[in-house]
Amino acid sequence: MSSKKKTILKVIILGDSGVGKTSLMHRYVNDKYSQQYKATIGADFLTKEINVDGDRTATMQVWDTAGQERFQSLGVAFYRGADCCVLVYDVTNTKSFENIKSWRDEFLVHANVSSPESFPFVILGNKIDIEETKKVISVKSAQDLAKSLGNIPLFLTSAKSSINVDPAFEEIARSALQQNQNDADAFEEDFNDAINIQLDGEADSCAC
Amino acid sequence: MSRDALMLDESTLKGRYMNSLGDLSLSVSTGELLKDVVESSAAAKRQSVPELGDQAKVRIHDSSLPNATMIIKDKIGNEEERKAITMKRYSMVSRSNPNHFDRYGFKKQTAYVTEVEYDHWWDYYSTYCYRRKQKWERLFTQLGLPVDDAPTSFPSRGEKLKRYVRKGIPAEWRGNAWWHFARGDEKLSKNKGVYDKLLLQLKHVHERKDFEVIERDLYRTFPDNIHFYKEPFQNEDPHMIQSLRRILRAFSIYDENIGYCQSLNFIAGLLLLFMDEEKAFWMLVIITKQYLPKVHSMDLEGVNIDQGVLVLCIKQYLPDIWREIETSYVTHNAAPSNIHNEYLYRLPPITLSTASWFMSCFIGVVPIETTLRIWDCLFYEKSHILFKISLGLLKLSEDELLGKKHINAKQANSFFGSETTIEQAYSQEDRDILMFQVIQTFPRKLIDPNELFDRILSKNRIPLNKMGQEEIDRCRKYVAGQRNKLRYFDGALAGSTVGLSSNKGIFLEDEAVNEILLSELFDYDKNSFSGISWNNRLKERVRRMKLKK
Repeated sequence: MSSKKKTILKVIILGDSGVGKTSLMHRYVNDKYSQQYKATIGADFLTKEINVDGDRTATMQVWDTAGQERFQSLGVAFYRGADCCVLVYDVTNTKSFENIKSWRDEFLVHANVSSPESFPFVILGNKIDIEETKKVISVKSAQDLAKSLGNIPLFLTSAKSSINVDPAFEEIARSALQQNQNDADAFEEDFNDAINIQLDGEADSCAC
Repeated sequence: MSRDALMLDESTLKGRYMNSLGDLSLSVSTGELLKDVVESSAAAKRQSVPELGDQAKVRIHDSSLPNATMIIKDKIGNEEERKAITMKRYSMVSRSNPNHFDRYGFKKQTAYVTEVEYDHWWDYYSTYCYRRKQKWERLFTQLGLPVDDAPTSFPSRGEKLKRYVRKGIPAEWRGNAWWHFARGDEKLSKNKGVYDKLLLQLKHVHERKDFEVIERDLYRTFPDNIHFYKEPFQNEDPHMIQSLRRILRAFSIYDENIGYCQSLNFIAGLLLLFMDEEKAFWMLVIITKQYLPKVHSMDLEGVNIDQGVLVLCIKQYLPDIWREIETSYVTHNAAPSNIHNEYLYRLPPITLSTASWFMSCFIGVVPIETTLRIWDCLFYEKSHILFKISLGLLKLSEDELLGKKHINAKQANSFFGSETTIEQAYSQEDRDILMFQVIQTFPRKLIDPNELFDRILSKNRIPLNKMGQEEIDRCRKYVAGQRNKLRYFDGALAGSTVGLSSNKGIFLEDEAVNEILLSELFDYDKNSFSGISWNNRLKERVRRMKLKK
């Protein structure tokens, strides 16, 4: 075994029931689509090995969650340690779009992240394969929302027709990796600070 | 229209169906379908259309071939299969070679079990079922109970009947047996006409948040079951879907505390395969009220309590697994607190998986025949069986769960004979992933119910089998109480930035919180489950206070 610690990226997918969270996860991880997915109860996860910086690999752990509101009371301890949060809406469902902000807030409340302003989110507008007339969320309003929530990257996707799923997850991986490294650096800094404080203390006592 | 499809040559068809397999809404095993399609096209080209009895008419859903009908040669062509094809329940389903489906209409093949594996196992299990049914019939005859296709009277409760139920109720009798054991008649006779009234009421209720969610879940309940599947050429929803919609809507206005909760669709759906709509409705009421109280309520507190109980059970009966869960819990809690029982409030993440075991009563968690065996016991023995089953599944998967299998394999390959421990071989994060993976996938592969029932649940020497309903109910009360207290002190819990309660201003020392939490103890060891016992120190203090008075 290599002595270098393997990087594990924890990604959580949130969004209203039926927007396509399970489909997106399967499309990305297995490159498969089926109309036979059942409603998700609790949470499911899949992992995928990804390449970062050319030669290094990392394990991406993708968590698919239940969309019905009440299931949020199950997820309390589990948002912790996430490296990126994916917010999904359905381009043919207004409600799911309007709820994006509350999903983000809900996540931040429970995830206990160190700096909420810089925590990476990615928004996916799914089901763009569906005919134009049924779409109710314009690209403009999606862009406006993404901007207002702090310039969150936005991707319009179709898990069914495999449109834009890979680019979206590449971005997710990139920002998760960034977050993961930031956290690791912060941890190291804390560690160094602790030592410094002790040294300062000794110096002070000498000066007395 | 069918002509066009039939005139396509083999390679075109092959290409087309290879590419569109992802879109085939009722996908059968890939190789089979392709072969069928290719064969039929070859047959059509030779223009040697065989007798109708030897074929099955099959519709193919393909956007470029609207309403194409294919005549597919029946490869086996035996009497039984033909009969099955013409059976009404299969008649509307395209591409349905009944060989691909089990006796309830579920696709045999899942993401975890192949059709070949299923058939192989079914060879053995069907004879087991047959043997069991004969035993049931003999029991009925001995007791002078009428034996027919759907008996309504069952033997009185007792060890013998419990053993019989544990070994499986005959599939044809299940609906009646569940209804009987759950005292459905009692419930129905007290509520005559209520279901019809609810249906009438529904005619005036239109826009409801729950209805939207229900609607989205109807076709996401059993997409792998032919009775719940709608063909593209069908205008109306299948009967099962219509019944499911009515039951779920009626339930959502009947029990306002629950409304609609995802996972009720699975329970109602499975009930509908075994009994009529009204009975299925009342069974749903009984399950959510008596068997799984508050599990589906708005705040899901019942399921959180049950996960707390499960965690305590793991701690007691599967100490090795508990150690793993605890290590992971401590590692991931950014600022570990010294609060007693905190894990009963902030539940360990694996409970996200196990919560679904309880909410959907194992539907979709284990293969269908295993689910049904669990349901047999559930209605006879009540909810503690769900805890036993959960522990049984964990016990069966213990070696995998703790990475022992991997380590053994590793050691066999290594030149050094020294013992490797899991801590040395894997990082905590790798072990977490492994644990989740096993908990998520192991049950789905458990095609043979007897693995679980014979190897774990029928063995008296395995301690977890001593657990009874009373203990679980006591433990539920205990966990509920602890959760209430922990919620109250949430603001004081270390590492938490957001309190659920309003007492954020009060800061309590861990010790003080612990004293209050410890005023109640749940003790497994003494007198095999003494339930809640009062902390002796506090008891003594109370006694002295009384004496002073």
